[in-house]
Amino acid sequence: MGPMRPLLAMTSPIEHFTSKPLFSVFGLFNFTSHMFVVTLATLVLLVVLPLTFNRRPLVRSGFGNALEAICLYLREEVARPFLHERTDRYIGYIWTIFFFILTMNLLGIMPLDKIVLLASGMRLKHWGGAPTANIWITGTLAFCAFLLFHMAGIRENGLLKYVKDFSPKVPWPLMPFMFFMELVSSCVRMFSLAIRLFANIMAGHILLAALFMFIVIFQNPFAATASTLAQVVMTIMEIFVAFLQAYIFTFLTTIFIGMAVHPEH
Amino acid sequence: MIWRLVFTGLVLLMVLTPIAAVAAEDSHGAEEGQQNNIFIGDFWEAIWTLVAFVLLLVVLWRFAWKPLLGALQAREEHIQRQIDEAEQVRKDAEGVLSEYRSKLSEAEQQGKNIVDQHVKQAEKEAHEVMVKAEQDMEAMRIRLETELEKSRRLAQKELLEQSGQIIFNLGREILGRSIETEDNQRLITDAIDRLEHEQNQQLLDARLPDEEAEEGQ
Repeated sequence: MGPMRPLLAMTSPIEHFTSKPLFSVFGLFNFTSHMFVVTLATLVLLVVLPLTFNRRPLVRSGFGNALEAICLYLREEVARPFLHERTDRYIGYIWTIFFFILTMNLLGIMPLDKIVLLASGMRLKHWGGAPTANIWITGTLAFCAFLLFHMAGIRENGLLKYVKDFSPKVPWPLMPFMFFMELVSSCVRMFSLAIRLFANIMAGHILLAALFMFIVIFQNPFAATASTLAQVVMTIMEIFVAFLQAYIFTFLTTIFIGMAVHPEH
Repeated sequence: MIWRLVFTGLVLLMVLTPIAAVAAEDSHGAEEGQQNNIFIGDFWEAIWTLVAFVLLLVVLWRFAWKPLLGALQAREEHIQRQIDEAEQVRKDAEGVLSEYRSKLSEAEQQGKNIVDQHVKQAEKEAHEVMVKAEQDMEAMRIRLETELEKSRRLAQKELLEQSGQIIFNLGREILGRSIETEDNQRLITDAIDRLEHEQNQQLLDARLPDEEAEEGQ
């Protein structure tokens, strides 16, 4: 059984990306692997983006140009059709949420825990994972979006008008029901944002783990080769999914902000 | 780029496979119960994420998005200004073109007028030259005719005088006596007068049919 234990340990397809406690912080709470990746993503963005955008050349080149192209696309093609002249008021949030989710997705694909383990001489375990495969984290981001689009609606229309226009025009006996339904719909948007991101990222990681397990299960060179090739292909697809899910989250958030800001639409 | 990613992925997979197996051995056991829960996590992770996100939002807004928006807006203004300037230049050029077309048309008309004027002037001058030439020729013809007539009469007169003198000399030699000089002179003068009278009569006869024809017309 001894030699098989490492192999059997790998039979849990979610083990490699789920959150694990790393150490206790003043006995209040555990600092988890996902907190570490969230912090790492934050630090990366806090360094890279200001360094990239703090200079103001008329035309950027290289990496700065690539980041600016993404920002420009989000501003002109995603935000402006929904927010019109109010685009620049909310574009900072939209850019932040996109790059935050994208960075966490990409860090989730990277085998950070394995790299840290190797670099630390097998001492530091689980310093990595996929934070966007954590419903608490995606839920928090969705909650921020939920707060933002309601706050934007109140800010742009005033509290009374926003509440008045919150539900469509229906005969007054139906109004309380419709208002309640719209309230539920608003909360459903938040849950849909959270679950969509969480489920997509988690599914990708489970798929990669399942492909990896074929090596363990079959212990066959052909299966190992096929599994490895399939994992490479799926990892490339996961990189694409990382961008796609960040885009979808951002796009939907923008639509919800637009709906709140322009209730007549 | 894609091949580089594929190669990197392959290398990472090859390297990390045994590491993952060893790591999994150690993690297996105590946490096994939690490992199968896909909703694993806690409220503190949510708080941590919220704090990180808000921090990120505030810092990036100040140090990344504000400069980026400024650069984008500056570029948009620059492009808009250039478009406006180009539009203004185009309008100016259209105005200048229209002005030059108008001037060209005006110049063409003026040129045409000048050419017409000069042609008329030249025609007038040519006509005047022709008329003057005709007048000069007519005057010269009359003068020459007059001179010719005078020369002819003078020649006739000389001829008659010489003829008279010859006849006188011949008569004197033949008859042996001389006619008085006065008689001789009178005879010559009579002959000349008779000759002139005949000539005048001939001229009068020659002119009469022409005058009758002119009166008839």
